[in-house]
Amino acid sequence: MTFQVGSALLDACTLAVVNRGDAYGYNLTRSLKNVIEVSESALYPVLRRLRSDNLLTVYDIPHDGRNRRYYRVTEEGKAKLAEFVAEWEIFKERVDTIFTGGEGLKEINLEIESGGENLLEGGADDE
Amino acid sequence: MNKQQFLKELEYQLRRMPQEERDDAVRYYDEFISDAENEAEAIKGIGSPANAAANIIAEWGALAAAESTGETGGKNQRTSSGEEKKKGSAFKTFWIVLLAVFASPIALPIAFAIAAVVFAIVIALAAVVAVIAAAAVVLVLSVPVALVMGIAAFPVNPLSACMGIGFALAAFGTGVLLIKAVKIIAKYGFGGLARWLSGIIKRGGKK
Repeated sequence: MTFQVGSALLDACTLAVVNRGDAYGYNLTRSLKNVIEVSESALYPVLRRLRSDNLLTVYDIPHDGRNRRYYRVTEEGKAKLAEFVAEWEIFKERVDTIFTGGEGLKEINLEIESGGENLLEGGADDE
Repeated sequence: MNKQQFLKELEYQLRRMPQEERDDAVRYYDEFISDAENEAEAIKGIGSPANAAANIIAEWGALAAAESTGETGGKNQRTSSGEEKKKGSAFKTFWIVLLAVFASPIALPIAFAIAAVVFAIVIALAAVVAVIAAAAVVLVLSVPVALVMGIAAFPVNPLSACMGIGFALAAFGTGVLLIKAVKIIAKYGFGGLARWLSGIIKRGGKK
């Protein structure tokens, strides 16, 4: 994909995936890789950070003679995810406005035009 | 590279991290590789252990720096465990951040900066040593001339001759002391610098 996934978006996507159902490292990475470009080695630091920020918590379940570590979204994590989703909506609308035109774009254009006029007037005064 | 080799190398790359953090990361990758259908492909996907370790250390450094400055990156207040970590950990944080810097992709410019500083120290030290050494050599070289002149002048003016000989002997003594000083400065200055550098490379360098 052309667009880079920044650290905030990666946090948000990780929270969203875990929020759909508790996940362990490997299947979490697989799920995320289906949607966004993220390298295998990039996810552990993200999980570590979300854990230390108390947005994710872990628990172990025996599997194949060893323990498998599952991640779960905390209450704090859920609140943070809702925040991310709300901000994403705003971001998405703004980008859509610019891409496809519409009411919002007219306002943006008007702002640019009036700004331009002010600049011109200021320039004329100086002359 | 199989799983065991990968984990061993990862553990080695993370050797400067606290035990708990290291074990957690190694465990994550142990599970990750074990859960994959194809071990070799999973390891190939992760990349080199050094790369995985660099990501971990960089993130950990950012966390530790945020904790020590009381900034958590979010609106939440720190938990009590975070407060405990904050106390008296300035030096530790410094190390962690330095370590993170060395492990991160921006290590090269920093390494250049350190190299430049070291170069400047070496040049300054060498200049000091050279100046003192030159003074010592001039003092010692002047001794025979002053002595000969002093002895030659003895029949004409014994008092001036005595003063000349005295100066010559004083110059000789000072010169010898300065040579000794040069040796000490060179030994401790350059030796100390070398020890400091090798310490940095051992602790901070990835390889």
